[in-house]
Amino acid sequence: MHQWPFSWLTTVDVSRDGWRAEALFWYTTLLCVIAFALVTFALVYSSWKYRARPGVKALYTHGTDRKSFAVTGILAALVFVTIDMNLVRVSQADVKEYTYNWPVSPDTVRIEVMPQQWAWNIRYAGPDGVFNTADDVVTLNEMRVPVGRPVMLNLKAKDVIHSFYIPNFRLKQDANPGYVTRTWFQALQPGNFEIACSQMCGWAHYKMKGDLIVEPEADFERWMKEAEGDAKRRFDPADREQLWGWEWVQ
Amino acid sequence: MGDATMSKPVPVRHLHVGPEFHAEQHIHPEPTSFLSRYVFSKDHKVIAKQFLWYGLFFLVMGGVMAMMIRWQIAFPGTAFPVLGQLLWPQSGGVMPPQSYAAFFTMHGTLMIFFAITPILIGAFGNLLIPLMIGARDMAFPTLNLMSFWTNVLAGLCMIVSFFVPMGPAAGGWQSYPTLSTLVGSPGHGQTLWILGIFLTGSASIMGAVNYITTVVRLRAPGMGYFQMPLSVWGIWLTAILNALFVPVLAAGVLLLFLDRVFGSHFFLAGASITKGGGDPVLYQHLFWIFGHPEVYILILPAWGIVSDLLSFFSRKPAFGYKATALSMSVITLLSMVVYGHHMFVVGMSPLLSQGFMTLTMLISIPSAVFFLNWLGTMWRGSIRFATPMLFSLGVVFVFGLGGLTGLHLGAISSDIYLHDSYFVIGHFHLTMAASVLLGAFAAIYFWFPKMFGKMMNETLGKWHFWLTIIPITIVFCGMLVVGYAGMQRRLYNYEAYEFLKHLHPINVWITRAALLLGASQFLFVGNFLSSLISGKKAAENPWEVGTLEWTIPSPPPHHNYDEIPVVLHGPHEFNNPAVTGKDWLAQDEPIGDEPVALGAVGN
Repeated sequence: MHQWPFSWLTTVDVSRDGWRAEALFWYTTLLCVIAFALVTFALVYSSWKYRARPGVKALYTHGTDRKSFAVTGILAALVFVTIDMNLVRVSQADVKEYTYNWPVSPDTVRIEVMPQQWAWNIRYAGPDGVFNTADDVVTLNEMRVPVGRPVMLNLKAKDVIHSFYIPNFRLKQDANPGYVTRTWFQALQPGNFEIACSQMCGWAHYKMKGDLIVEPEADFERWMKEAEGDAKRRFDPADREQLWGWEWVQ
Repeated sequence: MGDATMSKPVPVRHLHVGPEFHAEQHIHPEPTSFLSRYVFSKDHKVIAKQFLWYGLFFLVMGGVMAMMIRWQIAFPGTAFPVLGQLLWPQSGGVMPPQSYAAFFTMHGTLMIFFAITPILIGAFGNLLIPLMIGARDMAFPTLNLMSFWTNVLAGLCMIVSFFVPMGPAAGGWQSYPTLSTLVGSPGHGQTLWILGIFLTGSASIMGAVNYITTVVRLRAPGMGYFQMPLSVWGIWLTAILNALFVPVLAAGVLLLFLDRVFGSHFFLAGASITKGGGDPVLYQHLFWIFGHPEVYILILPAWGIVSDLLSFFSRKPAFGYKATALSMSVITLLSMVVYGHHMFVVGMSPLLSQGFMTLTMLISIPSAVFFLNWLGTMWRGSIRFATPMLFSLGVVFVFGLGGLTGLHLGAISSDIYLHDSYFVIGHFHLTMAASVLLGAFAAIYFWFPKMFGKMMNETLGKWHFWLTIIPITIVFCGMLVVGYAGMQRRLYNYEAYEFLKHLHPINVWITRAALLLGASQFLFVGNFLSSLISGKKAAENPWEVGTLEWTIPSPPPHHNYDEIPVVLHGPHEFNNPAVTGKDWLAQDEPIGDEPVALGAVGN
């Protein structure tokens, strides 16, 4: 597991890929601290050194000579190459290897999430592997996933825009009304974690909490069996509202 | 140029004069009635003061809301002193969650569109453009009058919205649909918000057209683009962005208005409609196509002003003047093609996200250039630490913090964690609230003598500076910290979440610093009002600088210039070795017997 500065501030990262955000954050912070220290030093030093004193005149220069241009140009280029291009490089690797690298392995857990004011509707495909059918397992504000398997989500909001946020996974994805967005993660250790909404969704936005329960594979399978049994018994074909799911978007 | 001796013939300088120049610059008689003089005035200087008062009024309103928001975060369930009992007697003075949402929405809206915009663009744009380029007034004085009064109508819409049933808009200052449609926001508050934004947008466009035209057409003879003070550059670039991008916002909110009032479906989707439907994310695109340039609309005038003031008080020409002007222009251009970095988590195409990320990073290059030029201006200067200079240095400091923390949000993989968190709040307040506010204070302290003919108190000014810069840094850097810790924005009670509870002490400290920041503004209010009434009378040029507005009396006469000045130098000729007896040179002041020829050279 990675160790980051000020780890008492943040939640425990229990995901396979959360380190990417942390690594880039601290890398950026390091570069920023260096740049800002230099600027502040120059600011304070010149303020002191070049304060108005009797008998000392300011230098008459417009800074338009070749040397000034060269120094400014080189420093600006240096900032761009060492800071910006590096961040782009790291972030590009992250999105290629993780963010947009949708899991395709057969053990992927697929979940549809439909947030509404102010709750999380959660749907598993059930034994037939097809969403929006009678055997789907549906829960409210409770998402269960196994340790060590990739979990892919399809999100679509019912009413207003919400954002699915799991701090322990350093992950966030908006859910919009009208079309499906996707995201994925993989847990490395079991535990109970919070699902938060991070997009303003009305006055009770702050109460829109859910539970993410990460459990060992065997416990998850046992729960799923039981839930599938319940789902069959509970399904009411007359209630169209129940079928809020959609065709899976890979 | 330092060795101009009498023996060598000095070449005659031909000054650029547009052919239409003299025809347009009549001296109009000063209006005599109270209404035409102080209320429906067409004088840019009076309109500037109107915008200043108007902006300060909303600054107080937005500021008090900020205090109440911070109070609720740090001390939930307790009554805000005095005002709490007045506003929410039914809950014993405690702010209810609906009011909290309304307050953070209106805080953002009022501060951006009704405080910062009127002060920096409305007041200082109006005051400085004609004075600094040597014109008698704006190109279109009547349009100027209409711009202000349209703004007043807009402000009234916002104020009235507090008194309608269900209260004002409460969906965040961006007012994303579908929350801002009838699905999430019934009542007239949100509709009034749209009207207010549409009206203030129209006013901004009127102002922008006026500013652009004035700069292009009414520069005094000899005032080329690269003789303009950098303040004018900043305001001019802002006007260009306003003219190009406020219409996009206007289009967006107009469609939202149609959705709310006439039942159209531009931004509606989901369970609320039965068939067809629009796309709420389309609004986000429209909003941020405007919204990112808006950040620069707010900051460019402050950058320009700070670039000038650093030179004025370092008694040294602005280092790399042209490079500063050009890098501000490059940023203006880049600001048009980076807006997608506000939308990394909406589910945009990965290719677009990556493109926007790379374009965003390009902004570092021109930013680095003018930061270096600011530092270069101070290098080997002879720095006078008057209050406007302190505030200018404050801008460099907080903008450094704000600009750099933008990098964390510009890269996709760190943004996914930080998006919609307090890190974003800290970052954008440092850039477009703290630095713009400090820039506005620098401008007020500096041009107050020219505006009102009185000096402000320097001692109070310096206290005001230190009691502002310290808490403002704590407040917004504290927000960066809780943001990194994972705290989302816009939470009525963050302690509803287990993972945020331990942040309580930090949030309490942020609130304490914010309350101190709020309290220390009384120093400014007191200084402003007492100087207005009984300040020391200001001389023509109390700061000993060379830009044109300091060559005429304080305050200037109705028509500004008896004779339109003829500009001979750039705005920052300090310690020019050819000048003796003083360390500054007015832009229209000849050195020795330099011959000048005015001719219709055109440009």
